[in-house]
Amino acid sequence: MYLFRKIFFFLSLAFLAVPHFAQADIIPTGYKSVGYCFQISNLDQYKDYTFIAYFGDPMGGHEIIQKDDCVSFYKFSSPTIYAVKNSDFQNVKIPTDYKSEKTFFESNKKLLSSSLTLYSFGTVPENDPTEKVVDVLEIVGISDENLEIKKLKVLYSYENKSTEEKMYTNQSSRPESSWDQNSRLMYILLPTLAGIGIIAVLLARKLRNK
Amino acid sequence: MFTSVVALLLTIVVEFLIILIFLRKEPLKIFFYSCLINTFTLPLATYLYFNGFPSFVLLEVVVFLVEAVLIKLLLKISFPKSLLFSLVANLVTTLMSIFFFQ
Repeated sequence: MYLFRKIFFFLSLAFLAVPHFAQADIIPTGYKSVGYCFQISNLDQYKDYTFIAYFGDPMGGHEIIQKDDCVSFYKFSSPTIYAVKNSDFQNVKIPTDYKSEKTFFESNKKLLSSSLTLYSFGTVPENDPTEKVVDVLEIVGISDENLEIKKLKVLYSYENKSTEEKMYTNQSSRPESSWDQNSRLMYILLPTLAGIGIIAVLLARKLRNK
Repeated sequence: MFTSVVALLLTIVVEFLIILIFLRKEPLKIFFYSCLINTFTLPLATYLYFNGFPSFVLLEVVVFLVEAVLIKLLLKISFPKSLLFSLVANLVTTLMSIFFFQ
């Protein structure tokens, strides 16, 4: 009976821990999810190629990118974009099971992969008016051995139906929306100024009393 | 953003009125100090709340204590009094935020 109680106790602890693992997919209180996708702006200039997004770990999956497509993916994936000559892609069937698909993309020499790293947008605080974020990419060049794609701009769409476009100046960090910049003003600059004001009042008082 | 500004202005006014009711003197000074104190604490608390602070209640306790210290220092009153003013002011504004902004 004692042993049973001990087992029950540890099992209960384990069950308490399980929600924390499951919570990786749950949006925390006070936050909301924002729609995200990416699109390639100049597919038209590379009509001899087919472009494919392979989503990789943890879920696998792929999508052939068409003109005007906005490709979205599972938030914990980090897709890789591949290009293949149309002549090499005719009658090719991409495997759908996880392992074979992974092998196909990682070892097929006819596929040119881009080194561009893409991440989903994630969650934002509930008071953030952002509804959707779109990364617009641009193909810089394709050679026999290399596919170069860069992030061109990001489009923010807000709850009030307005949109905002920000150009990428640094490939490794997404430009902030104006809301983020204004938030920084509100949430950091104002209290800093108030803090300085409080210190100034106390210092002035101390000097007067000397 | 607009909601945050309105919340800040309301908090300043409400906390000013509560402290004025207790002290009944120097309203301009109290208003100025209420502006300073709440402009310092409210945006920081809001930022922390939306950026991972684990508990709303704990955050309010921290705000209450910080404001009590600032009230004591700026208004030159005893700490028990400043605790009382801060407690009442923050209770009222917290209840208002729950009813009007949630």
